[in-house]
Amino acid sequence: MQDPLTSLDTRIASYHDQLIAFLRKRVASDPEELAQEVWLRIHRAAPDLPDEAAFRAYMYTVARRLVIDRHRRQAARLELVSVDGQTLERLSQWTGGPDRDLEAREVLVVVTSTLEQMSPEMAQVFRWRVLEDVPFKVIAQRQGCPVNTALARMHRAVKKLSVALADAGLVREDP
Amino acid sequence: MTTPPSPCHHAETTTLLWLYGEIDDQHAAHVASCPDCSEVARLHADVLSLAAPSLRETPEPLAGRPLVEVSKGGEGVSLGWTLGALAVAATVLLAIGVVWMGSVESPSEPAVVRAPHPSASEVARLLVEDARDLEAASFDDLEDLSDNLEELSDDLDWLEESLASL
Repeated sequence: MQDPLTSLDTRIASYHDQLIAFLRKRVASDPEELAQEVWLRIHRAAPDLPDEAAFRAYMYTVARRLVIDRHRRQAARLELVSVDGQTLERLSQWTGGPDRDLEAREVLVVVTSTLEQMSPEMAQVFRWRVLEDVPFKVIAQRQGCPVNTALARMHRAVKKLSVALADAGLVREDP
Repeated sequence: MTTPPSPCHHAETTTLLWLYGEIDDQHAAHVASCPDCSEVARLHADVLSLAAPSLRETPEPLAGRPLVEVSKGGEGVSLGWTLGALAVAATVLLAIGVVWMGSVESPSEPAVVRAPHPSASEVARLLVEDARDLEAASFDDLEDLSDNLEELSDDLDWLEESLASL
């Protein structure tokens, strides 16, 4: 029987490049660092994943969780003000270069417009959770609703943004 | 029109808490093996990877939007019945709560520590707030109306559970 660590080493060797490509599309900087975090989490959890399909699903699941975490942290540190020259300069720095200015502008317009079209409560849940890192429990307290309602508002907000971004041709391709 | 609820009950609850780092990584194995939860993870990661960088300091939603009608094909659908029904529901729930509490005999048994539940007046207040939310919301299409009614439904479920446990 193969040693679990050897097995993980083998899988890292097999999937590392795929993971880096996946992360590179979703984070602007340090995909390698994030990939190391993915492998570390998988190593710590030591999941029983006998087949390759299950392992790949687990790897991408952990990676998506860390992508969300990375963006949540970085969004809270950004200081964008509006769609003006200064904002775009900062956006281009964040998104990885001037080549992505146009996409950054389009995304900003679509996201802003979609948030404005949502119910105030739905948009507020999204802003609090993503930009201010407020836990859902606290959001629920602030809005005077059950946690499940806050979670439902968050999910609906994300679905609306997904549809709007897809309609604008701004979706990412899955690996 | 409306998206059917996800078959996995974790998809819009526990999985969201995990995705946003509010519970530990034990849930990862479930997400990886569950198509519904995997789809939720994909959706949130993809949207945040695009949207989060541009979100800081976006304008707050316009306050006080007065629209309370849904327009489709030039015909308006009045929500007056919804608000009226909510007001009636709030009153009935308040009455039920008050009557129930009035019918409870003074306890001769040792006090039992219960989990906190909202009072009847709080229940009524929440319903009235839902009605106010509907008044304040803007329904640009039927999907928006559906979202608001789903929220109302969520709150009513919770209120029913709260009343049942009073």
